[in-house]
Amino acid sequence: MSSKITRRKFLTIAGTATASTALAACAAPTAVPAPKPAEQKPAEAKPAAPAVATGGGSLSFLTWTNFVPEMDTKLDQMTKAWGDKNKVDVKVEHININDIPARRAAAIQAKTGPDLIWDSQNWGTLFKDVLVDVSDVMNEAASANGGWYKWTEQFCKADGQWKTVPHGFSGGTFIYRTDLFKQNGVTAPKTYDEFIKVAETMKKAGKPFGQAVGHSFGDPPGFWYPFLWAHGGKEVNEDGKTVAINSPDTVMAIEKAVDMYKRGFADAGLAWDDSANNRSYLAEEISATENGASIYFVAGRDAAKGDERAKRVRENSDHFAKPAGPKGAPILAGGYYTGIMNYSKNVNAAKDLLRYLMQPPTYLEWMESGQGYLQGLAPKYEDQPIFKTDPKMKPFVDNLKSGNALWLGWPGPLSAAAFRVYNNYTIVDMFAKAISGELKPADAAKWAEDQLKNVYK
Amino acid sequence: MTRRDQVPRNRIAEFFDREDVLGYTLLIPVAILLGIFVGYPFIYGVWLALTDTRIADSTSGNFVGLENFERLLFRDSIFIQALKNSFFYTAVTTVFKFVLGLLMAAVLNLKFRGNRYVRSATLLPWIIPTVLSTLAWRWMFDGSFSVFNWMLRQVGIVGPSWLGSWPWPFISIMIVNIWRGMPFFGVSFLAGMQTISQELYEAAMIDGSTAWQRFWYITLPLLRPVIIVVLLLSTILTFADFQIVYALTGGGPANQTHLLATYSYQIGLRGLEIGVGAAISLFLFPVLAVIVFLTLLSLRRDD
Repeated sequence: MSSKITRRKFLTIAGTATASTALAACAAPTAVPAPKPAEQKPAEAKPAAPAVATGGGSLSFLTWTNFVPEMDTKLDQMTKAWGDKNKVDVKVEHININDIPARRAAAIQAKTGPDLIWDSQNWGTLFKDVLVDVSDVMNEAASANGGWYKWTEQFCKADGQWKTVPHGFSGGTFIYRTDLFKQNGVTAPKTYDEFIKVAETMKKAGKPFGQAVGHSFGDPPGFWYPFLWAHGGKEVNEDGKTVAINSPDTVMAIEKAVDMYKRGFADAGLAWDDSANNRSYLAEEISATENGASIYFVAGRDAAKGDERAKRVRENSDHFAKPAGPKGAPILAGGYYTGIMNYSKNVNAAKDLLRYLMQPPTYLEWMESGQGYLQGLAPKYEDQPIFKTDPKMKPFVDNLKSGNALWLGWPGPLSAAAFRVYNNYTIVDMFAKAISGELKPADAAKWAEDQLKNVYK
Repeated sequence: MTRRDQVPRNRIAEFFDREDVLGYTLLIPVAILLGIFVGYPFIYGVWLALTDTRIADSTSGNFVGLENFERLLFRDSIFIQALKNSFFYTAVTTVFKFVLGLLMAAVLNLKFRGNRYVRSATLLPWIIPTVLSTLAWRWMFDGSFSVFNWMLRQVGIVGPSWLGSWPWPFISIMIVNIWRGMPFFGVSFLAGMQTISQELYEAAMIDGSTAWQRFWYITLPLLRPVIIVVLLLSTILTFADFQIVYALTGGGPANQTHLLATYSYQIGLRGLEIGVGAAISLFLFPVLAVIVFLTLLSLRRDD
């Protein structure tokens, strides 16, 4: 064999290496690997963490980009003030909430990353093994806030320990244009049958209802889970294991959804995320959509800056509660929760920051910066001034008091499988496949059943 | 034998004077880096694909053999859709990128005023971060504020719901991929064209050839090695495309635009079933490996 490397030989070797590298890099999982089971220890606050009393250290807080930017500004100000006072360098990172699961998964595997993470739903119970027990924080906060809504416990507690702290709840109501409804002789609907008739009228008038059916964390599941439940459908039985989605009730709900979309909704909703319906409503293209109070808030803010359209939208908008179906008027329980990761080097400081944020003066100040966009998860905050001074905000508080909040995986327990189904958008996609015409309603229910069986096993 | 020959340093020098030894020695650092950053993740990915590992689930991580692949192939219609999408997406966009890239290279190879500026400008889609440009496209495809639909409205046409109604979402992601990938083809082909001797063209012209004949019988055959390499890289990268779909449609509506990479992300990171996510990622590896092997074989034969 010749020891001389020719240009051709070199290029062949280098070319093979380059192509192989590109191939392997592309074929390697885009996702980060999970920790080995043996590495997952029950979370305990690491004693090495310096107490805040001694000051120093740093904290990073990964949270969402709030639909009401003023709440982010206020949170940043409050955490900075706390950091300055306690000599802790606090960095708050706001990202799209749909991107938080990936960041969290990477952080868990790498055992480094944000000390505190904010997310929705029961993520704390699902990640209980990698979260610090914050029962001490919660007990103090519960005492100061007069106790939380009972249902928050199943979102935050695992193995008898609080794993996350509840920050707030939003959604479950519809914003609608009172002037356009009046012009067309319709009123806020109380049932889904009325809802469809009103939507049809408004669509004929060129101002349809709009509803997201895309892949996004809030409005799509917030609308379609309750729609399913209100018509008797459910993804799983009480045992939390037996998939029950493929039922006559589910098929009926899907048929109704297809009819509803065709008769009364804007077609673009199939591609909408949680912000697209806000933009469409604010642009006066649609006359109603499921929403927290973010549209109402933004319209008010822009109206104050002299925007005429925003002023018209704000003055002529109101909210109505979730309509009722044959099986009631459920809403999707949920809310936003923050936990401390067990790899944090500054657990005591993280706990102290949460204590500060959850104390009534701070908590109320933050809530009020959103003017009702988030509702506090303690009955005490039903008396928040905004809910008394603005009757248009009343449906949000009524929601919390109604007791109609059902959870992911209902009527089974709030489980890891239910959370995975939610994150895979299976229920939303079941409706989307039928609405888009890709599958017939019965086939969409069968499709969902197949998908759910892969998760509930 | 001189004293100098007896010095061990010279034996080392002689050893490294052999080109094969020196060549492989110089490759060692790169091989180590590749082993750490590509080899290890790849092997770990293979292992994960054979387990039921779920993120933050201490009861998972058990070896399940090919069960994940069996589930994907026989019990997961979204995966089948993503698989079909990946092939269709790669095939269609590659054809368009190839044809348009060739056209672009042919034009840029001409001598005209401002030639250099135009060449630089055509690279912009390739240079701009994908997510950034895709967000701009998303705005242009927006259901309420699409600039395309606004233009269509000016001439009395109601535009489609670009990201909402089938098949427009899939067409939309392909448009963005072609727009972004075409400059890579164009510039690579241009570089290849510039190495072709002008004498060949002059001789052909003297023989009375047409422009098409010169392109078909001179340009295209001599570009063949470049074309093969560009097609190979583009095929691999397009199969593994993630950013455009993620930023534009998130795989929706109703999973209609998922590619294997985005579906892997959804199942592995959002759905936390990282073992299944790894299986999705690795699914095409054997197919692509064969493509790479055959392409490189073809290149060697050319040599």
